[in-house]
Order: sequence, then C-alpha cells, then structure tokens
Amino acid sequence: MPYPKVGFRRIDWFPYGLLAPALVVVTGLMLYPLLNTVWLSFYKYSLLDILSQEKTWIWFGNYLAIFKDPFFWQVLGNTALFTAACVIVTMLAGFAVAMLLNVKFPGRAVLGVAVLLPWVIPRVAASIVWKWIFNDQYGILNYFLVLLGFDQFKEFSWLTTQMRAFTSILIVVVWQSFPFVAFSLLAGFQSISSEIYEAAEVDGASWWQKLTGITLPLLKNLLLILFILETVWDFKIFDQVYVMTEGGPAQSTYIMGIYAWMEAFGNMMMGKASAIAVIMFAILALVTWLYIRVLSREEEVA
Amino acid sequence: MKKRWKDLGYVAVLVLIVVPFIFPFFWMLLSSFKEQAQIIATPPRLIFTPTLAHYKEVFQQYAFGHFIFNSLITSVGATFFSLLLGLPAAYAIARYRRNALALTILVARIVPGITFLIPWFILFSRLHLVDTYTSIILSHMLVGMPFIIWIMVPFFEALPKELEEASMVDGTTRQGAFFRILLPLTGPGVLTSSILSFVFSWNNFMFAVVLTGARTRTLPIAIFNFLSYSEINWGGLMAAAVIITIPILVVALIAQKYIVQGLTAGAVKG
Repeated sequence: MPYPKVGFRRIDWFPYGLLAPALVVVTGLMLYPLLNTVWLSFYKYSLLDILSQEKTWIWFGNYLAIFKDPFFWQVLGNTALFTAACVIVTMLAGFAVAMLLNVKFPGRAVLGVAVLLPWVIPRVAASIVWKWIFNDQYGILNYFLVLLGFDQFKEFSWLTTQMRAFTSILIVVVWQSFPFVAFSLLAGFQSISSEIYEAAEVDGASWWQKLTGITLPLLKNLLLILFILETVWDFKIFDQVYVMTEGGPAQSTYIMGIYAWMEAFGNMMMGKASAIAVIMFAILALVTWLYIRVLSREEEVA
Repeated sequence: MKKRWKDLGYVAVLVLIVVPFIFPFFWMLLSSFKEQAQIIATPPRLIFTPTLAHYKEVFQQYAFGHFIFNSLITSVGATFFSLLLGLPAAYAIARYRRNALALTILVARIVPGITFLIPWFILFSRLHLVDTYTSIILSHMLVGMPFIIWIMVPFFEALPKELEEASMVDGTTRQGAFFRILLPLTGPGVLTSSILSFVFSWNNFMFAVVLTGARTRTLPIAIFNFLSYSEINWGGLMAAAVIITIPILVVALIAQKYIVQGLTAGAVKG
C-alpha cells in the first residue's frame, strides 16, 4: 500500500475508528459508573440528599459503619456459605450430566435439549414456577413427598425458616446453572482424543482410573475456570432470592446482592449501598484476578 | 444382548434425570390451563378440562400485550445496537490486538450489576431517562455487547488475513471488505451471539426493575409485580410464566446448537 511521503510514521486510524463507538459506550456505561460508585461510597447520600442535590463527604464513614455492623458480617457469611454450597452442587451435577451426555445411547439428543431448557428460561419465571412447586398447601413437591411416605412434609412450608429458604433457593439456582457447567465440560470431554482412553483400556484401566488418571488432569484448567466463574456468578446472585423470599423471613436470607439493593432502592441510602457494592466488587476482583492468572498460565503452557 | 441391557440402563437413568429437569415446565404449562378449583385440588389432577381463562385474564386485566411489546423492543433494540458497535470492535480486537478492551469486557461480565445500577439510576433520573426505552436498552447493551465481542473475536481471528488483502487488491475498501466478505463468513458466530444477547435481554430482571416504569415495563417485571399483588392466583401466574418462557423456549429449540456453542465459548475458549 502506498505510504504518504511524510516524515512521521503513519498512524493507522482504522482500528481506532472501529473501536471508538464501542469504547464510548463502554466508558460511559461501565467505567464511569464504576468510578462513580467508588466516589459515591465516600458520601452520606440518602433520598433526601438526592432531592436537595446535596451530599456530605464522610471519608470512610460508610465503610466503618458497615464493618462495625454485625448484620453485614452475618450477610457476608451467609453469602459465602450459600455461594460455596451452590458452586459445589452445581459442579457435581454438571459433571455427572456431562459424563452422561458424553456416552452414545438412544435418546441422547432429547437429554441435550432437556438440559438446555432450565438455563434459558427467565430467572423470574423459574423462581415463580418453583415457588408454586414448593407451595406448602397445594405444592406438588409436598404431595409427592407425602406419597413416598414422608408424612412430615404434609403442609411443610419451604420458605419460612432460613435453612429451608436457602435450600429451596439453592435448588432453583442449581437447576438453572448446572447446564452451563455440563455443556462446557462436555466440550472439554470431547476435546480429549479417544485414543488415550483406548490405550488405557488396553492396559486394563478401570473406569475410575480413567477418570482420575486422564479426564480430571487434562481438564484441570477448565474445571478451575468453571469453578471461578460459578463462584463469581453465584456470589452476586439476586433475582432468584428477590423473587422467592425478598431476603426474608426477617432478613434471614439476605445475601450481598439483596443487601446492596435494599440499601439503595429500599432505604435509598445511595452512599452506603455504593460502599457495599464496592466491597462486593473488591471480593469479585480478587476472584477474577485468580481467573486471569489461571488463564495466562494456561496460555504459557500451550 | 448385553449392549441392549446397557442401552436400557442408560434410558432408565435418562428418564430419572430428565424428569426433574422437565417437570417444572410441564407443571407450569398444566397449571396455567386449570381452573382455580382444580389447581388446589388434592390429589393434583392430571386430566381435566383445560381453560383459557387465565390467559384471557393476563392479557385483558394485566395488559401483558403491552409488556410483550416492551420486551420485544428492548431485546431487539439492545441486540441490534450491541451488534452495530460490537462487531467492528471485535474485528479490531482480533486483527489489531487491542487487548485492553478485551480485559474491560471481562470485567463487565464479572462486576456485580448493582455497581452500575446506582450511578445509572442517579444519572438517568437527572436526565429524565428513567422509564424510557433509551435507558433500558443502554443498560441491556452492557450485558449484550461484551458478550458479542467475546464470542466474535475468535471467529474473526480464525479468518485468514489474505482474504481481506485479496479483496482490497481487487479494489474493495477495507470497510467494503468487512461488510461484504468478512461478516457473511462469520454468520454462525453472529447468529450465536445475537441469540444469546436477545435471551439475556429478554430475561433481565435487575436492571429493568429499576429503570423501567409504567410505560416501558418489561415482562420479567410485569410477572414479578403480578406475584406481589396476587400471590394466590397461581393459575394466572403460571399463564404469565408460560407467556414469558415460550418465546425463549422456541428460540432454544430451534437454535439449540448455536446456544450451546455460545454458552461453551464463555469457558472453554477462555
């Protein structure tokens, strides 16, 4: 291509032109709000202050108040435990279904579709349908359980204590998130050459030996990435809890997402809510940093 | 003979696994056609005369036609504008390695939504943009566009550079090469990412609950409001759930292959 005869190196503006519109939107919708949230977290900024357009700079006042509040630690603990439980059950369920999908047998295609469906349906719809299934008086779940002989489930209310409500939400969350794990792992399984398994079979390797000796080590990075992604997503969960319990009964199913939301749009304490959002972001940034480190190490190996 | 037993075993396991996955859909559909008396009947009825009363109620009393329209405008709009901005950006990242943006996009997928929502709410309130299609479409673009770029970068990377160079030798401009040669070749990627962007937008609850109002309310918010003022009307709620789920189910059944591709691209491709 002919270069203009100028003394400077010609700058190629074309890629910047392509990037610019996306960059403007990303800056305006993402970077600005991110910085803005951090900035707001140093203010006392409530609904009244929004109306009068005044806010007071209070340094780390919001953070100090949050860290001193036992409720915050309770919510953080609940969120951590709930996230861990969701991640573990999702990974196990996803792994099992991926193994099943990897076997050729009649009806596999049906299973493929069936597994995909929970992932695509709106979380609000899923939560409402499950709420109906969990209904204490007319819910089909209690009916089946009683039918199977568990009489203690007659009119059992699934959402009225902390433990029960968290269990119910966990079922819905896992139901909607294991397909992602299953399909990702299935793609991983299929990337392993069948020759390796055949060679192992010749050597008389058992099913368990093939799993722990070949599959798991080869998919270590993928498993780690899925683990981190699921952790990030489950940590910031909101929809299912908001629809099923709204954080109740008596705030016992508050998780970080609900806590921040309620402070912002329930109590209209924008400053405090921003501080909670920043804390959430800091925790997730740590996890993301791990994710990037794992990825870059994987690229070095490859 | 042994193989047959093994196959039969798999089918049995299959049924055991598929039933709990599918049952909620089945139960939702069934309940939406039952009259209130049948809904609360014990034992639950499997055979009954279906009624469309709940659907009538949802459309006439709760104006779901309007919310379907809003959801369509929002999802199609967000996907369209995400493609418009995301495709060139993905191409630039793939060809010229602007990795900083790729990192930003990763961040967009990981930051909790509430972090964006608070400044958006304040900003959009000041600009009087709450309860307009503009604000809700912009907010959904934050989900859709990063995803489109994420999926499209590997597609553009896979295309040989000679392809554009050859077409440019033939006198096509770079813009022309992009639109007429490259985009058609990445069709499956565009389809995959558009479908997923549409699904994300259609399903989004958290942004819409704050940024929409009476005029622009989308289906997820409409069904949630329905739940809060008539908790016991399970037939109506199930009809509403069917209405919001059906379009997504149809898309999922038709484009299953593409959705699975896009879904696994998130993790396997890194």
